[in-house]
Amino acid sequence: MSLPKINLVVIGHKDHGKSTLIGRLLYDSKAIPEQKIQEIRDEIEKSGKKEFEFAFILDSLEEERTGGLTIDIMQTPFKSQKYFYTIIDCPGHREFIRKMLTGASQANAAILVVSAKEGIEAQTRQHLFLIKTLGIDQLIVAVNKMDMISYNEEAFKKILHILGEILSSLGYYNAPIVPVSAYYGDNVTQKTDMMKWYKGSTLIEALDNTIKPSKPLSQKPLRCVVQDVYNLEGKKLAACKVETGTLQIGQPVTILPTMEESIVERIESLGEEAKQAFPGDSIGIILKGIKEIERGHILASVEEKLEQTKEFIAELIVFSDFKLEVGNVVIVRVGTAEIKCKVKRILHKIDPVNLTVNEETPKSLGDGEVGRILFQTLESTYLEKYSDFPQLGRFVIVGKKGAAAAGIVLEK
Amino acid sequence: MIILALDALDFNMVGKYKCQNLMQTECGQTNLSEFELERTVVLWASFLTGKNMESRIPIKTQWEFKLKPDETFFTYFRTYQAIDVPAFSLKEGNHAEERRLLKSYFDENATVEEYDAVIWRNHEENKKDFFASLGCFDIVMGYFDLADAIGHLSFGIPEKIEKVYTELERIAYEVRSSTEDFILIISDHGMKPVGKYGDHSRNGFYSANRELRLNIPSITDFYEILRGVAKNESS
Amino acid sequence: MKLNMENHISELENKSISIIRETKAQFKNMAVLWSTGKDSTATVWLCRKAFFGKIPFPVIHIDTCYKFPEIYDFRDKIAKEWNLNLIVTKNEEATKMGMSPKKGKLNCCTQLKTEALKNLIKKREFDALILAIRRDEHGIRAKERYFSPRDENFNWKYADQPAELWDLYVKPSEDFSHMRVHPILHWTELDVWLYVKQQNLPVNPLYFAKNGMRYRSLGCMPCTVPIPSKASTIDEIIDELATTKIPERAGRAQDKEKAYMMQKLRSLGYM
Ligand SMILES: Nc1nc2c(ncn2[C@@H]2O[C@H](COP(=O)(O)OP(=O)(O)O)[C@@H](O)[C@H]2O)c(=O)[nH]1
Ligand SMILES: [Zn+2]
Repeated sequence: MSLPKINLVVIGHKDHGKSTLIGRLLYDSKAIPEQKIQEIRDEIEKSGKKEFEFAFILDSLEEERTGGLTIDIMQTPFKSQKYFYTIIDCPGHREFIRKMLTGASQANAAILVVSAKEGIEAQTRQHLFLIKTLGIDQLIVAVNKMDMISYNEEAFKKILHILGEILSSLGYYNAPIVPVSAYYGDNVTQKTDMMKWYKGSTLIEALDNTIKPSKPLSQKPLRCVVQDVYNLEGKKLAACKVETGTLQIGQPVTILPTMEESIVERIESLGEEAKQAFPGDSIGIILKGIKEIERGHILASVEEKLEQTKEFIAELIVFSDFKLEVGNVVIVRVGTAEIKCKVKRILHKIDPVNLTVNEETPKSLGDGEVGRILFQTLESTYLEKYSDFPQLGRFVIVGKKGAAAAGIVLEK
Repeated sequence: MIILALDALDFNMVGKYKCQNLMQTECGQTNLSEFELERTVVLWASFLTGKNMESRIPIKTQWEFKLKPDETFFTYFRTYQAIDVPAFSLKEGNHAEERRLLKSYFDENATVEEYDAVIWRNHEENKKDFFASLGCFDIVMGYFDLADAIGHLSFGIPEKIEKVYTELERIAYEVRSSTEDFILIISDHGMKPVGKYGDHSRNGFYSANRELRLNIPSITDFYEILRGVAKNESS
Repeated sequence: MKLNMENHISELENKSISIIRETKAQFKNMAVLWSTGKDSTATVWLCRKAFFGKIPFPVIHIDTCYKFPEIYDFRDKIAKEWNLNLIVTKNEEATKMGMSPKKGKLNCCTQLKTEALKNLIKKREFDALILAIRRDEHGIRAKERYFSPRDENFNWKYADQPAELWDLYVKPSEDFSHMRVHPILHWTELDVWLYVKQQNLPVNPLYFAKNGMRYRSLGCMPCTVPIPSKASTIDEIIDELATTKIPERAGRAQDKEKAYMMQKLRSLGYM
């Protein structure tokens, strides 16, 4: 039997215990062979370092990685009752925003590590905010280093209170908060006697219970993006990727944003003709008597009454040497479409550390800044709200060196 | 004021070889987390200016990068001498030659012995300049790339590294026994093995012959300390 | 189990194909590199599938003149069967000047391969190249992206590479000379063999054990070392990989360390 795969990103302020927690999770779930652990122990002894620390598991894998050997933490999945978890990134202090975003954009869920001793610090809020901006909705919080505050319930409650406010201000209303000691393994994969007052689940149970595999994409309405159009025996063959829904021969479809309607005549799966196609499939489609079809177009089912997008509001983060100013015309890449859009208004700029709006209607957003923007599309366009269709509601702005900003569509 | 700037002096290795004179009264690790890459010129420039200089120094032209005296803490001292300091008074010819040999080594046109010989020769030259300057200026900063340059090709060869640390320990001993002045020993980054080679690590090192009570400082934190020293000396 | 395995492979395959199609749609003049090894053969096969049988761009084979004779036979046979637009390129100057493995392995590989490729890219003005590298192959590759811009000297500025979000693979509007595209970055060595088996792809015989030894990767002959193995069929290789702990490039560890060091020193600006 094989379990569904979940990608996790671990975030939190420097030194709050991210690496230790990852090491602990990998160790307790036996994802790292005992022999490897023994090697690390020997290594530590030889180098005269202090005692064994779980963070060393990670460090040692990291060394191996940079040292040109093989094991890669990002490829070391660990198993729970319900899922295969892969930790795709642990944006440490040395990771910069660009790298953190690259990793986090592949995650299905996040673990926020907050040290009970130090409490909430700048990067705690900043990381949280960034993953929110990337649209990661599933969050589990580990309040770590409980051992350092004598597993005290009152102290935990205090943190709970402050955390609760921050979390709900970002819309993470029901994120479970688990008191743990990554170092000693309390409440990570095993219940502990040290916190009898805590009646909730362990971290791994909380992960299993909170994370919902996304609703099967095949049950959503059809969205199929056109990557390119080839010529096959004199016919236009649209190379497409099915994002949601299913596609069948004979099915009537609307082509967005042109709104032309047509019928699916033929589906070329990889190397053979198919009757149907499902989410994730890369296929070729021939449509009956279609006039216009090109890269960036989207096929949807005719039953939906869809309209072109004239304006949309997005939250975005700028992360390269680039300034977004009111009045600018930029290329917004959504799905396979590259759309000319005008920055009509910057509604506000948000301070990612204090999570407060620090400027209403500012003139521009620069490197590292986050804000909410009203875009006007300058050509006919169809895009989605992130909450409805994440695949067609997230975008980047194309810059000189590649993606220069990224965001999600809140309203349209 | 004396600064011994020892490229790639590694916190763990100083401990391993029990170099008491390098350790001085207070010693510890520096925190490089704000830097993306452990680039020598960037780190020394940041040390000199108290600012993170990473984005200001392009890789391509880093070896030619030069700070003006008034951008650095030297400006607070009446007289200063900076020997072979990256981003400031680097002996470009010597370092260009070292890099040329390094490249030849990888192209298999030079042996590691030929490379090492040049490194040691340049080291001796700096040592001479450095000891000649002691006592003649309000602040003397001497830079030695021995641990870095030898380390890159031989960090995994214990005999060679022991020799390097013994030599640096000896320099520290000579300096310490020659003066009561404030002595700061600092590295830009540490080093870790890759097979027999050595890669930069984040275990940067500092030590002082008086208590500073620092807690894993950033390399940029010393700027203010040195400014304070200059102030005291001039008053 | 069976079904899940097939799902897994089919997910990998679909993603790779959409990346290949993205490349074709965004770049004017692309090509794929083919060493005839398992990874690049699988990649060329994926290209065929992406374009329904006929690859609409050249397939480049860099001939270092020090290869195994098996490679040439295999190459020419497949090129014909798959109807490839094959470009074979050599760095003849270097070979003439006597560049050979005797001058040192790195010299051999970089001079012969990189120079030949550089010249070809310049001559043919390729703006995108598909390469069959995998993330699990080598430490430094963990940092690779699917779309990885290079400057005219082939430099990969890994500390300064653009962010790559979701599946939005973006061509920069300027500031790069050509794009390296890595459609099988997310595959593992085992995945490749499972795919070879599932698709019944041709395999260079050097991968199968002979006299207790087999090759796990094929470089140029003097630089590649076989590993001890009894696996003489694809199934046996798959079994071996499921249990083995020896890294793929074992046998050349020292070269790898050296190459890693060279790369790292370059990125630090020493060379
Ligand atoms: N006492 C205690 N120390 C911890 C715990 N978790 C982490 N630490 C320590 O906190 C320090 C920073 O942890 P690390 O995992 O490197 O933090 P990161 O920067 O978030 O990855 C290390 O010295 C750990 O040993 C814990 O649960 N209890
Ligand atoms: Zn160095």
